Amino acid sequence: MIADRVGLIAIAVVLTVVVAVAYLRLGDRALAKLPWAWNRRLVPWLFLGPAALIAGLALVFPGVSTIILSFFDAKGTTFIGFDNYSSALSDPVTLIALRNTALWVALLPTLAALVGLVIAVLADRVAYGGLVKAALFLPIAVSAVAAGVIWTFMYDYQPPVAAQTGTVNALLTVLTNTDPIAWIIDAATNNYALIAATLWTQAGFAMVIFSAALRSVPDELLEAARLDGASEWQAFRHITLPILVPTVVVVTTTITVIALKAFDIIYVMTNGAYGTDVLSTLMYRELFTARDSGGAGAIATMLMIAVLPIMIYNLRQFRHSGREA
Amino acid sequence: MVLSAEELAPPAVQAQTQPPVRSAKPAFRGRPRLRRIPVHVVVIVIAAIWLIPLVGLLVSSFRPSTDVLSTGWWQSFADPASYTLANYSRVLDREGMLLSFFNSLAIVVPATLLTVVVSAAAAYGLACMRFRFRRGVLLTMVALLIVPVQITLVPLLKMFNSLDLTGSFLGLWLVHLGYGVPFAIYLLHNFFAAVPRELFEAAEIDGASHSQIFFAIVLPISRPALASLAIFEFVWTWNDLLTALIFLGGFREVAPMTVAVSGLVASRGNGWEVLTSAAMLSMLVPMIVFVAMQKHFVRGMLAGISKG
Amino acid sequence: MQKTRSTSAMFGTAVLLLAGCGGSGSDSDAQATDPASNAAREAALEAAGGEELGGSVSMLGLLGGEELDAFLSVLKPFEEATGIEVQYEGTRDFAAVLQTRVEGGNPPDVVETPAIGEMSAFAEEGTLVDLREVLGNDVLDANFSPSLIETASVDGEVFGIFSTVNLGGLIWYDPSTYEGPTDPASWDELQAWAEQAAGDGSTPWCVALESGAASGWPAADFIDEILLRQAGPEFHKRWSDGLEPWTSPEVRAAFETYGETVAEGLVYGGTTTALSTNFAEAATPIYADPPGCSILQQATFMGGIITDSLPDLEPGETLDFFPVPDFDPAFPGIRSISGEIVGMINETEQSVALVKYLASPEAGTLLAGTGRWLSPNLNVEDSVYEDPFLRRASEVLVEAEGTYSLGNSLMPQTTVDAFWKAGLDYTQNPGDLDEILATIEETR
Repeated sequence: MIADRVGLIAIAVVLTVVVAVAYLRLGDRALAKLPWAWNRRLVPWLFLGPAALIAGLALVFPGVSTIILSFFDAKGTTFIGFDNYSSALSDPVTLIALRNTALWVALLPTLAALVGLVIAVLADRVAYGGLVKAALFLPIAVSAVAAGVIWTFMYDYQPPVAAQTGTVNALLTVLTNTDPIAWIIDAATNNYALIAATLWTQAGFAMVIFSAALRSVPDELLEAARLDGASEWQAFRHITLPILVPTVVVVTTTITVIALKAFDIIYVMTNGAYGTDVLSTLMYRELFTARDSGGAGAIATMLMIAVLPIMIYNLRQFRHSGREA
Repeated sequence: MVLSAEELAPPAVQAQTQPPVRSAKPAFRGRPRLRRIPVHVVVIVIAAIWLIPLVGLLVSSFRPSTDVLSTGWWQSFADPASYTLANYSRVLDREGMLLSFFNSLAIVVPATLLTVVVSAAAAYGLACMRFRFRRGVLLTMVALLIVPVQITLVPLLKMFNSLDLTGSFLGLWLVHLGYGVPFAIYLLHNFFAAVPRELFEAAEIDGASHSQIFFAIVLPISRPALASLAIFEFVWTWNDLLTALIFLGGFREVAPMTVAVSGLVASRGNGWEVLTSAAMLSMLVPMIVFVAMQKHFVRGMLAGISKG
Repeated sequence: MQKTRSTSAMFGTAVLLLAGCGGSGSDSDAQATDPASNAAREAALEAAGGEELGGSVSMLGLLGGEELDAFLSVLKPFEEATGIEVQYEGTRDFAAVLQTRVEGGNPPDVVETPAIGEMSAFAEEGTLVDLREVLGNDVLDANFSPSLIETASVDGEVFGIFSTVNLGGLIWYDPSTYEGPTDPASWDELQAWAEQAAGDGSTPWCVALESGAASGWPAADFIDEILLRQAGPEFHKRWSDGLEPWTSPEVRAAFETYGETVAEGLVYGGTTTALSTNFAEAATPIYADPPGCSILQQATFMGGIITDSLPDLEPGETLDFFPVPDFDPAFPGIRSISGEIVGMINETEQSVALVKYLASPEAGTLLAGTGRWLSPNLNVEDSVYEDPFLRRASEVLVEAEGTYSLGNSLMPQTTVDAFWKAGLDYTQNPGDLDEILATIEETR
């Protein structure tokens, strides 16, 4: 059976490449036979078509039907208008989730982008940079469940008299001689603890993308600046950074969406208990525990609306970019 | 990432009429060195913070669960005899683990390739062609990032059931493709849009079609971006559990490693110690992919391209 | 993607690493020949109507690890005798997967789960097959007690048969270090000893409530048991059916009785430790030197969990249990049970055969023999239990005045979730009891 799988992989890989090349090349050639205006109008769809189709089926259609369902009752049969929204928003649990989600959005993208950028830039300047990058990358390779296990142990709490088994509390008690903190239980710290655990898995993501982006900064510009006597920091600030701005937007937008959708680590570590609920855990409960497709739809729609400001900001970025003549 | 032609040409050098003034700091060639100590400190501190949980995991994976629960992992160094391979043998000796490894590969490799290919084509269309709905499509793609996976499960499953795609690897590839397209297009569009205009103009003058430009110019230049995308799609698909369970199934013949490993833990969560070794083993493959992709992070892809 | 030679080498090493150790497999094709397995094979063949049906049946559950191995060993004779392949999928995302598959149109043939309330919701929608029709009254009544049948019924239709049973309300302790009463006449006597021990400086109660997404369930289970035995089975039934509110004084009293175990100075490490520690590690402090706590309330499965992590323990010498004493002399000898039920979604020849097999005493005997669970089957003899804890538990059950299912497994999942959370909230803030109870009531 293993041989089957290997064969499957080989066939899939070969077919994908062959079909893709053939599709684009032949499609291009076929469209070239059309009058120029038609060709111009259709070629983009040749390239876009497959992606648009699959995204439409997998995401747009369910997304739209979810929004529609949010105006219906739990079974999806009776129209109830905005009832799901009003009951959600008047529920203190939802308000806690909203507050927490806002906290995630405020902290995770900025910190992850910052750490990622710092390492992407500095790791190239030290001999052991490859190892540093690997250190940041490895947490991405860890599954959410494993990350939950790792950080549940990092934050482990033992009574003050006993020896600490959790790394964080061990460091805390040794370095500051205070009592250990129950990071996950204590409402003052738990959200930050969860965000930190997620940050650990996301900084590498930012780093990899920034690393790729840095490759496109033309050497000549930097050379010229250095010849001009600019310091490294000035070169970075005035040349590299402006070039990186669109990438910074991509990275922060993506991680903001990750923060909005944060689910797995929270689910595994607390399932929203002790005031750590976020919109995603709420939605999961509505969908699979309460089996209320209307209520879940309302939360999902709120989540999708929350992303609008980010989209508007991105829209502005797109306006400034591209080949608009 | 977007530069107009003017920005690209180094103005400082062109405008220079006098020889460069000798500044107080000598001009280095190649990789310049920064003030050493702060850089090293920052980098090492961050790297250390990021590594500590993993070191903890690594050490814990060689300890019996009773030890892990009673003492911190750093204390195990004092008693090397306590280390054990039991956690690893529980994972590796498990019947069907090798098959689940190949199941994971059979899911992830085609899904990643498919996502990269389809998204690269789409991103090229959005970044390098002008057409009426361009901005709308791009914005929709990016907006689709927010759609939570859980709400797509039932509609997609219904569709797949009617198409008889459930339980097939092909179906799962398509699902991962659908989920991956928004981010992939968003990322690649960012890089493709930065490819200098002159390259296009030169090629168009030569009569190249879009597909030729795509394959011969844009793709090779964008190796770092494609490599990044491949890394992430690989890792995310490799670590996926729920989607595989729903669309492919958790049966032994087709279960990927994530499902197989979760089956090692009992229903109430006891037996978790096997997750430490499973996590270490599971990290190996994405790590290999990461290292393999490093050679694509080539600097200066745009340097030296003739502008004439 | 081009792979450099070094990458291929690394890749190959990873494969070899897995190849060298994996897939050696321990499944021998030789069939077990002990009488229990033989009997099971015969029963399986009979369940299949006397012929080797072949084909397959899909089963969704949440077992994993060693308990899954144990369960699969019970299914092995069935597969051998009938040629039917049982494709088992175990996942802790059981609710999400089941619901998605049911709504998506490809549900599993058979399900196995402890969430009876969730199943009753599916049954009301008509998703589950009425097992009374499949098995027949004779088979049902011959193998299962009326209360078990009724627990898994709604509107007269039987949607599930119990496959495994756990006895709740046991106090686990280490006989070699425990100094309290091992057969207290009442809860008050036990608690009096506990308070005295606390006065002497120790923290007698071990409590651990963490359990990932289900954190709080040990507290909920115990409160449930207390309510059953303190307020009586009738009230308990009305409460779990939703006829008595959570805010009623009896429920309040049950919470407060539980609260006695996590009171200041009585619980090891204080409530913060109780909330932070995983339930499977609750007994660990008992064996520390000096012991951190001495008594732990938990169900039968705890014995296996404790010996899994502390294999050197000797049942009877360093680990033993006694049933939680009566709370109210008006309700003596009441015991609580919980367990998993098996339900059928798709009625096929194979799934019918499987369910009939699982309902048989022979399958129950094999299950009891695994040492992990009690069998719900009336015809399984006590002598089958080799595990000393299970054997004693079985005796306790036989001697009980009445045996009732824990209420919280019968409620809708939202209420159950709220109950678990309430266990955590109450432990953390006993003063907020009224609010906590009102919150659960709202989920009804």
